[in-house]
Amino acid sequence: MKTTFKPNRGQFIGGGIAASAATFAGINVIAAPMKELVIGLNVPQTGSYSDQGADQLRAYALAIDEINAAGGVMGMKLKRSIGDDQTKASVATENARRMIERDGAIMITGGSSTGTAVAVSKICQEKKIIFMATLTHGDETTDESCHYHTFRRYNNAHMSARSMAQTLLTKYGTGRWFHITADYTWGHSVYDNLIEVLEPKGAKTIKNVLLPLGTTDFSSALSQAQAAKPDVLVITEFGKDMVNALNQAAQFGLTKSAKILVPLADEYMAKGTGDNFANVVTTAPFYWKYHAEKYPAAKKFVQAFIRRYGVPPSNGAENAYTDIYQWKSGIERSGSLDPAKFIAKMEGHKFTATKEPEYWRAFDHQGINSCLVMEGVPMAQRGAEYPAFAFAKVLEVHDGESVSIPQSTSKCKIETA
Amino acid sequence: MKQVGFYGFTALGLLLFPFAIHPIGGYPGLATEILIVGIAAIGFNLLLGYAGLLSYGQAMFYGVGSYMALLTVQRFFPQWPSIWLSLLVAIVFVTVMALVIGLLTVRLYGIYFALLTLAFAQMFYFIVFQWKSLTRGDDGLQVITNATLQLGFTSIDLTRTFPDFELGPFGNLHDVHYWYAFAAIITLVVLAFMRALIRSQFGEILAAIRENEERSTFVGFDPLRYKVAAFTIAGMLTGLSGGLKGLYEASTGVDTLSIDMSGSFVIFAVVGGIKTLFGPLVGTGLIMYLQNVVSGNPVFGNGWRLIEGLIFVAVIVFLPGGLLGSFKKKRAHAALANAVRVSPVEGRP
Repeated sequence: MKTTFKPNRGQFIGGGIAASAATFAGINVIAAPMKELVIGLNVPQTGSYSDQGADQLRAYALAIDEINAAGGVMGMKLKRSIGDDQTKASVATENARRMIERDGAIMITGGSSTGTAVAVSKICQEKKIIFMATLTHGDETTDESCHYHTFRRYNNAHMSARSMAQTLLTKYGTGRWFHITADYTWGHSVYDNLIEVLEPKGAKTIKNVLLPLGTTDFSSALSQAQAAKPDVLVITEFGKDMVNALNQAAQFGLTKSAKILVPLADEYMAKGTGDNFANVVTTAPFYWKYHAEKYPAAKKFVQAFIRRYGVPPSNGAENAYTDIYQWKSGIERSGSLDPAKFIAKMEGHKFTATKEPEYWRAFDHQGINSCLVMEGVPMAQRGAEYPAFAFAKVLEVHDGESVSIPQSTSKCKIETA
Repeated sequence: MKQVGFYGFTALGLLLFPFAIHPIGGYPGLATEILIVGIAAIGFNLLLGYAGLLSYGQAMFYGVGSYMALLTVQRFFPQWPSIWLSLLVAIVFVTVMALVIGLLTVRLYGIYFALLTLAFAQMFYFIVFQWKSLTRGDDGLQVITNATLQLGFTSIDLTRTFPDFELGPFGNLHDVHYWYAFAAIITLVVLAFMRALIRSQFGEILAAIRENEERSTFVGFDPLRYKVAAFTIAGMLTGLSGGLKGLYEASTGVDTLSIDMSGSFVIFAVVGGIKTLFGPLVGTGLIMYLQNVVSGNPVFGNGWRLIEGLIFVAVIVFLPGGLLGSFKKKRAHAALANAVRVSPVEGRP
């Protein structure tokens, strides 16, 4: 006779508890010492900047898998600890703390908001853990709030504003400018830099409407803009917020009655705005189409990314990818996991990755590399290759040195340990 | 004897807690956070469980507490970076705030009370968001100098850790910060305070008002005074919790005042079990475990919010008394019956 196992209620519940305990206990294995190196990937997976977070995660996975397939870092495999920072400074700090304390992460990387980057930078400084900040564009990360353990390769607002200055005057003129700005460090930083560049040339700022991160309805700000009849509407918003703002501006007819400026954009924002992005001037540190044509390493990265994910990388993804390799190179050149030795090897280090030769500036840990000034292209003129992502043409390329914050005016007072 | 049992078991539980969660993926930092946030949930339980007031604005006390504590270190008294001073400023400010808001809100019942507290919380959210010169708006506060704990003859840096001592599957003593010990002592004090409070005449009158406000008025109690007192005490504990969280993280942000946060306190208390002393702490532990440990699981980590929602629904449907409340349903009912029967004429021994 065949017997079947029919658990009674107690056995069922007990079994359930045992099974879930076994599942969760699996997590704990991460902390196994020194066979693996744990790195914390702290990006937004929900909220306004989640597209940028998701694309960075893709790039991280690509870089980590490539590195592990080639033997790891000093013979140790890389292991991910992933957290959703929800674009909130406090969640980002909690995640970083958890990655360091629970998983034993020896490096944290990530970004998408300067608000979160500045907060994570602070906790990494306190814990003496390397922070490779990716998508953070506000000056503050490597200026006022710079820290010894933090490195940022992405362009900052100062670089974008200085790079655009000439184009803005020739394409947009001086006229009357209306600003819609994200109300946190990054937005303020971009606005201040634009004003510094524009007002001395005679541009008149009519109004700056500050809106919280995560705003979905821009109609009140846009109707003010409509009534003010500006020559230029500046949308200093990022991620889905910028997509909403620009698409709603088009509904209000503002894309026709005024020239639109978006100081920082990426492939996913362009994808969400389609034809509304045509003729919009913007900046970016990397553009897959441009760099893949010019630099073999960029071509290799873009092709690998497309092969794996079926779409080209956004500029944030490139930054995430290169940051992992930069960290690996720093660790290997210092031959140690000691942050101080790593930092000594990083400061002033010259390298060539997916762009022209670039370097890490010693006094503020800002990566000095070029800034692109680009202009949106209508969908019809984009060609057959990934039209949603092939959103712009490059107008100018400014070398990083000429547009960066000079040491004489930098507010960065970096620690010595 | 019962007293000794309570203190003994609670102290033992708090002592083992950071190690007991290690085999299931927990870590000592999480234990510290659970205790700190749990204090706010314990305070909220006084409102919902004992006074029958569903406040949906507790985050205002939590957030303002965390800002006041950090501003004390950073702005008000940077020359005295003391945890006691920061907590004192946070608690005093939040207590006064809770008293004023309590006087304005407890006249309302049910949903109207919940909505008015929510409105106040939103008001404070936007004050904190907009007052950038003080609060730095959306960027939040990050404080570099860690406040120390003065103990008369010496001062302790709570970010230090205990000595290296391997505990096998339960981790290493070295992973535990002094912060945990401090949070555990405060939690023990708060639990003892709550226990005394709900067993006192005050607690019983509160329960009487919850069960039948009209009758308790007839027997001579002023329900408003008791409800304002409960609201103020809950606010004070929430402010203490916020202050501790701010100092522990050395940072705070405007989302500590968000609707989400207010909702979290409701979930913590209801899941753990209202009208129970330890329920809110257990609820906080369970939900924060999901948030911090399950969210890191590669397979179903992204679904932790869904798991949280399912647990909340399951508790409401199957265990309306909460996880702990369902264990001692009978006792809770008996206590309730006693509480309702109280009158100033009979008095209580």
